[in-house]
Amino acid sequence: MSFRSSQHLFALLVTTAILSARVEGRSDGGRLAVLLTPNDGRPAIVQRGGTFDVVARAGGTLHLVSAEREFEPGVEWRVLADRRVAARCTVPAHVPADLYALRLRFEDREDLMPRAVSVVDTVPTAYTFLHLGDVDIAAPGADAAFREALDKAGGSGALFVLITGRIVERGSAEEMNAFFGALDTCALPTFVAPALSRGEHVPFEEVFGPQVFSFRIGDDAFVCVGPEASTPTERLLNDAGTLERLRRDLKPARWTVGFGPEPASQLGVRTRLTLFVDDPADCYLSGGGGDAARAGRIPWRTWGDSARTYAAPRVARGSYIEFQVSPARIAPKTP
Amino acid sequence: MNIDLNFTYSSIAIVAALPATAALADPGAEIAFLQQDPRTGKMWAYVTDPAGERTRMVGEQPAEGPPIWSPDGRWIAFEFQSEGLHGVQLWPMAGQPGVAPLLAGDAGRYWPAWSPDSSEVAVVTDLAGNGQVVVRELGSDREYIWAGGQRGFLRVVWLDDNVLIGVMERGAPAAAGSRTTDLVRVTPSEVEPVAALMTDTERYCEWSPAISPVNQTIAFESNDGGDREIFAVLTRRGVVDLSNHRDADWNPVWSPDGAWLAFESFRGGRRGIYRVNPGRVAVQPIAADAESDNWWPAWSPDATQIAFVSDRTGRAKLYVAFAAANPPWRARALFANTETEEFAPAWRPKAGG
Repeated sequence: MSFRSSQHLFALLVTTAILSARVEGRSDGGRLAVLLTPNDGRPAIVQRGGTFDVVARAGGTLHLVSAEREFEPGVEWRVLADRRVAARCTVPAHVPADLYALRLRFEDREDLMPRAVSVVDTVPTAYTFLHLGDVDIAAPGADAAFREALDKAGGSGALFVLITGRIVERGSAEEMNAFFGALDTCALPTFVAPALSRGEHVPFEEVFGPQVFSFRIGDDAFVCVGPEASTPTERLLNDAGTLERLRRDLKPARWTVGFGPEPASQLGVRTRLTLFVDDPADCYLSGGGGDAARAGRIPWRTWGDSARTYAAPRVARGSYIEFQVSPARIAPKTP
Repeated sequence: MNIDLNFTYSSIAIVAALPATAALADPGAEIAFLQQDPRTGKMWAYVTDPAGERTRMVGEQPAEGPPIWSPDGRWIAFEFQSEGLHGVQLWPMAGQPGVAPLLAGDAGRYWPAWSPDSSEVAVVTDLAGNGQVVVRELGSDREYIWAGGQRGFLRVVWLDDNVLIGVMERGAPAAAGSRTTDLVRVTPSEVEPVAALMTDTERYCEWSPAISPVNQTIAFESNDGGDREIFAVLTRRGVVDLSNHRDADWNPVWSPDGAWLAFESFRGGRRGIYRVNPGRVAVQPIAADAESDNWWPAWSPDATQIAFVSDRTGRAKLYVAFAAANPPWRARALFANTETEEFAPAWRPKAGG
């Protein structure tokens, strides 16, 4: 074979490799591919120069990707149980504030997760976030109302959006696709705490990652109890154990916000003891508000003032709750 | 960039690998448990030998609660859903005729508890409060409402063949910051405080009562002291904090010989299983490590083994730990190579105690 032929062969191989690179992504029905977290329902909010954690089914090269540019974070990988890997990523100081997709390249494949990492200049001590209730994407008018609410949220100046409650009715792939089709129009990072569907079993852990999880915004802690917390199987699983561990890891926090798909009155005893008695949260946010936002207080005795509860109205009603967070209080914005 | 793709599990604390025969000292031993179908998310009840080699399904519906053996080892009770009703199934395990499930049209049936003589099952009618206590007689197949019909019960256990210990919600339901839970003695007609705990009435949140099968000593968990601890009402010593640690301790389980309490604690960073002898109050680890969670301890009838659940491989799987002179106990996995998750092990009691 001549040198020229070798060059042609090499070029052909490279071209073939590029053309055959498989692009992963959420499957039909929303199941995660290789990148697990962060994702568009479980984003990372990080300051420039700060760090965030990635969990994936394979290691590779990570990039933050926007419409115009892409940036390579500093990455340190480690191996987890169950054939997963984790990376501690450092956002370079020159990365501009924006909501980025996260791209993982490995072998001849790549996975691109939209809206996964929100880079901010600073985390202010006072900020707002939005709380949307049950989306129920298949309900009449819900898709349009959801998109409208997300569009409005994008111009609100809020730091992020919290979505709690029922996102689908039957749990079909069509419903899940519709949900993500609307969700990914949002200009803000979105945290989703979905309720169990009433139809097909949706393994939400494979769609969003662990259902009991937490995140921090500056000195404030947000912790999700997961959908099983309001079912009889709460007693069997380790969700309450994870919640207990997260609560301890989150101390001390300026404000602690518990949230989950179902109202506090429907939570199992172990979850209630953990979140409202032993390490009381300052408030609990959930779906289940129905046609109007609902506010209340946790009846359980705690060591301080009892926690406030807020249930957001279903999205089809076209409204959401805007929370204001400051050193003095965390409460819904009053007109 | 530092990418390490050499998958290794050396960092995962597998306590020890034991031959299957090590678990078969008692060839008649059986463990009931729940297995989750990954396709549907439903749990099903099964029984297996301690080596996990001979396994059979129990019941005809998915389970909604843990399998609970009758003290004589002839029945398994588990919660289930049927056409929107939450009931309790009593499944015969000794070839005897079955009985009708405990069901009600207007209220659920939760937390089944067998009487010490295996002749009755007590349940509460609500999982989250406001429940009544209902007792089913197996002989007559009749149900009775206990506690004089009072409401507010979260769960009950039998103190002896005539008295239940219940966890009851206290405080005005609508008053913010007033509600607690108390342990109470429950008879068919009355509810009264547990004498040793009267000074704590409506002050703390007690939960998870456990009764010693040997001398009826009551163990429970409470937030008395600021965090969740394991307490026991001991003769001559009163109410004693047995676990005393700044991290949460919960879910006490008596060994069949009454010598030890197994419980779960977060003192090692993750959820782990420990035991304490009420006379010596020295806590020993049974299954605890820094990388995984271990929960739901279930004693073997001779108190030499403990079945439990661990997620040390990334999935919830059953393990059986064997008593060792020096902690932690050695353990082996059941169903280690399946894609399923298992929960809520319960060792079959020896017939005749």
